Amino acid sequence: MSGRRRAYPQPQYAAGQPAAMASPQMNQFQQPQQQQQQYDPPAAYGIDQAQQQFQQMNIGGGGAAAPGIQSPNSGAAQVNQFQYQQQYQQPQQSPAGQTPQLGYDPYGAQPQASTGYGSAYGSVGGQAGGSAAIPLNQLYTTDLSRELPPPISDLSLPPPPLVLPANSTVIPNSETANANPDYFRTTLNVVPTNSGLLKKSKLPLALIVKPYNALKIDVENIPVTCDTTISRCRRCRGYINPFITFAENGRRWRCNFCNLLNDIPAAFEYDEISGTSKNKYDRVELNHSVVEFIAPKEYMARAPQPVVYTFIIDVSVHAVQSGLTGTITRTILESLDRIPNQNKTAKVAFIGVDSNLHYFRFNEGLDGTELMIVSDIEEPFLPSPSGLLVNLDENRQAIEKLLLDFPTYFEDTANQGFALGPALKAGHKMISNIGGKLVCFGATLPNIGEGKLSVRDEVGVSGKAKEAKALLTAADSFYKSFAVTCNSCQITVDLFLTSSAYQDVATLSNLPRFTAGQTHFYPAWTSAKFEDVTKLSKEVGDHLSQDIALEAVLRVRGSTGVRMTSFYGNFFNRSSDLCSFPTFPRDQSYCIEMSIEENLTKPVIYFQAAVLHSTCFGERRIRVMNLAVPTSPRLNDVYASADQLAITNYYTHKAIEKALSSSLPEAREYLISRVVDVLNVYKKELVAGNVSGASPLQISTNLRMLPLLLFTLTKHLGFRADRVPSDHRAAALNNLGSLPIPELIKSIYPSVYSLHNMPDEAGLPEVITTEDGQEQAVGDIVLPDPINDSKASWENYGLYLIDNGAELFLWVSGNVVPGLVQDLFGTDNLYAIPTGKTELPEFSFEESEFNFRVRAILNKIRDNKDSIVWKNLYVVVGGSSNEPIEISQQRDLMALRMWASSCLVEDKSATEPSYRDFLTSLKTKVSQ
Amino acid sequence: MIQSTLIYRYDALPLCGSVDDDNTPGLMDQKKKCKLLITRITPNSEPQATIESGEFNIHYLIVSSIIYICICERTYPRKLAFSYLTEISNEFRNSHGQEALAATARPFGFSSFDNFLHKTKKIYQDQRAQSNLDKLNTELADVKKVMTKNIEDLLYRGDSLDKMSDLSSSLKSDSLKYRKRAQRINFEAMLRQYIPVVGVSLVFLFIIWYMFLR
Repeated sequence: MSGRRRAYPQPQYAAGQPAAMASPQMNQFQQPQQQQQQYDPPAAYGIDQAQQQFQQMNIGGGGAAAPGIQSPNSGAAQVNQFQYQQQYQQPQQSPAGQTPQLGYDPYGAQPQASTGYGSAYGSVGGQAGGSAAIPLNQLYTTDLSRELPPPISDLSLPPPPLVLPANSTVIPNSETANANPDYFRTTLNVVPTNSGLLKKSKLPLALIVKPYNALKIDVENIPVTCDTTISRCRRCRGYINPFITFAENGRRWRCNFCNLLNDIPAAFEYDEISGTSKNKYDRVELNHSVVEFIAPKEYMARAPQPVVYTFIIDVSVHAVQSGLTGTITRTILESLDRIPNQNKTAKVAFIGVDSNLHYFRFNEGLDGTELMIVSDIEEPFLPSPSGLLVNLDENRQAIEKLLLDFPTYFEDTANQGFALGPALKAGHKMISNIGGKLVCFGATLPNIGEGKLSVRDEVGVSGKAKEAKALLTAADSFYKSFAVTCNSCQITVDLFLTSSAYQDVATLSNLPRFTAGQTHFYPAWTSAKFEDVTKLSKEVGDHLSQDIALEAVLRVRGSTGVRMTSFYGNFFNRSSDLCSFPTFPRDQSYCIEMSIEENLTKPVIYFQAAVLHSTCFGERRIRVMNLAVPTSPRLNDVYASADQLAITNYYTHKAIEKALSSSLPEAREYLISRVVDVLNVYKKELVAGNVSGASPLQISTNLRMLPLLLFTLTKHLGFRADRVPSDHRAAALNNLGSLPIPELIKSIYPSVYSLHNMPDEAGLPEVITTEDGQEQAVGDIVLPDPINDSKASWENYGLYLIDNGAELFLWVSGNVVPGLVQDLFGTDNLYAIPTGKTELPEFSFEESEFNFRVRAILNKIRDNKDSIVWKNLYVVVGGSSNEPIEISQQRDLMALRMWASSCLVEDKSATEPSYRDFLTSLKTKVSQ
Repeated sequence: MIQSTLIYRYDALPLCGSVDDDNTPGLMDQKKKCKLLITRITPNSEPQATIESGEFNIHYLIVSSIIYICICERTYPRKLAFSYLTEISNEFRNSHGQEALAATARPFGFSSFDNFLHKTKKIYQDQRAQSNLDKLNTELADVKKVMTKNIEDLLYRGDSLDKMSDLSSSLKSDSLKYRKRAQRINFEAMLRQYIPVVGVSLVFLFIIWYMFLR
């Protein structure tokens, strides 16, 4: 969590005075020396501002205080954290007078705020009078054209705080009562009271649900109820949550969704087993917003199923020669211990596929397996009634032996077929009475049997409007219909595709999408490259060791008046609001669009998402997440509390839908017109006084990154107008549709770190002062702060690290000092360093501190508790005027440079404008 | 073949179930009926019984407040079914008996027992298990001792699973008593049937005697 700001956007201006504030801003940009003087203690903006306002209300007993808490500090209210930034940026003032990177001045990390979200949400409680209208977040305006380069530290801020009246929770001042944004957030943290206002605001209303935030259960710490008593509302079936109210002297509770009075179960007050009385306020479901209930037997249709993995492995000639078969079998062998198997009931099966199906039968307890080959792929049948799907623990020896010998069975094959469809059907037959996962590893286009695919003609349609329809839609309906049969048997399919030729990812990815699985694409993978092998085996290992949930369903409820309309993500939408997940992965998030059906009269509305699932250790549980959001009839409030990252996530899903249903240019148009709409609405409704001549690009401060994000989304691999191979595009669209918000934002707007001038503490463990005043170097590695994605600020002697969520690029500029090359790579000659997909040489701290620190930073970036992606490192050498001719003729290096540069999304590319040009074009569009 | 196995506690808390059953609708139906069946089991119930249900037989065994149920085809020999149930009941009691009866047991909390169920089921599927029966306790599986009922009667016509032992002993004396009573009733009915005829004919004879023989 180092480097993450925890403050609500601290604005520079008071509301309604954009013009006056513009000039101090300009001053600031051009006179960096002044910043040193502006390190005042953080003024009371943001969260503290809310607190101060309430305090003033209490004292003054009346009207809301003016938001301009006296601080002519329109400049930065900096905290010492930022000193080092200013220091290292100053020497870099290029004589050309470029505007330096100061975008993130206004943010002060409030020391109090660092206690987490609780302080934001809980601070309001207990201060203001109960019935007074709670002043919601204040609206601050920024002018986009003056905020260049855009302040990207906004991207790592939490959403605007949810301001709730006091006493809205059953347990007063509860800090954990409202949902953590990592789990459950909405696009609008103040919901408009009627659908007319929602339409007028041109902002979407949607929920982003991410029930799991870590791959393993022990990393998260979700409280679990102590017994199987579940109290639900009789009418709306909502679960009891921290926002209910007790009525009749604490004997009954009133549901906050539908207002019905319900009884309190006896077990809340009295413990039968030990005969003692209990305090109902101690129960976790009244204290925390994210809880897990243990489900009684009424929630189970059958006994909880064990974890079942069926591995369908490509053994055709292409797979064997590229090394996929060998790598995968070795990876599975090493991951056998990591498969969640607490109950010792996990089962595995293996099927090898080329143009025949190869089954492996285990004899219980004996070593050795039989290999049975079935050539009939029209009607795949199981050659043996038992012994194909076996218990992992009991047959461990035989399984290990099989995995060791597996590649040898197929090493001389010349079979080019890949009957994926029949293999899937056979796998389905094998596990249809239990359910589980079919994990397929393919290196070839499925070319025989049911579901066979053919190469689609890309050249003819690329760049044209019908590209999306022709290349990105499913070519064969087998995959979608098979998904339906899988869902009825609780089977999930995951695909790992590693072909270097066309593999029709677009069609194949439909199968994981509708069975709650995931498609992983490794273009041009080969086991000859050590880094490829590392990436695939790490990702497969992490994927298999996830503590997945089984047989799950998700239902989202809201207060009366709100209805869930559309659902986006990898799952099967069974009925109007029930999403079924045969297995529930831990690294995806889901988006649910809502509509307001009737006028909302209450000041706060509530949402609840419940996931009924069986854990991997055989317990039936329900994970419930609750969220309370204030409502308001004023457009100002809605805009002031809109969450730009969640809105981006929603528009990403809509754009994918549009791309697949109409065309890519229309999807890009859609995103741009959304930006124009928001700016238009802001200009018409919210800017105080329509001052003509004022810049048309005014937007609320908490939304000021939205135009940038939607603009860079149009440049994303999935949507850009350049010629992109359709497999890459389909894989990119698939990722965009399932990534959680932090990874999604990184994919849309890659993080760039400047390493040659990083502060001294970057790359080393965080120094924490212990109680006795000593400083200890423990804690996380400190990362340098990200800089904007634009070459404009780059030095031609700099070392930069670009992280786009899937790859890491280490850009070594052409004119870098030889000392840096020596420190980092151990050689003096810039052109002798290994480029392309490679790893840095390892030097210890004493040999080369810089190398040590850079590798520590890389490890920290790659280490992720809730994603399985392992990012490959590509070393790129930048161009320079005195580079040898043969270097500039290396096509690989040129291609790498172009690829890395395409991650710098604020810049102009061959076909797309830069961000500044985009803003200029927006000016014309908005003024109309 | 043993299609499915369920282990429940006396208060209808499920403890374990076999997971790799076929998902045919017929079997799902049977499982639903099993759940209803469990609610009908009282402390008075017969400790072992077979319930006939369409083309399946549901065999159950109650041992120390835990009910072991298996659903088999009708042709599967009852001896085998009950020896299977005995075997799993012994194993379950030895490994999980105490925890299962504690109040804090979770529904399906012992699903790890499924491994043993699976292995035992395979042994019993193998035809050679028939010959192994000699080693097993055959008294247990004696057909006469195991009560047989029909599922329809049980669920829908209010039949019960109560013990039949008391009833059968009194059956003999009761039946004698009823026999005597039935004979007497028969006699009385016959009397009642013929008395008017006899009466009328006596009067007739009397009139004739009076008129012709005076």
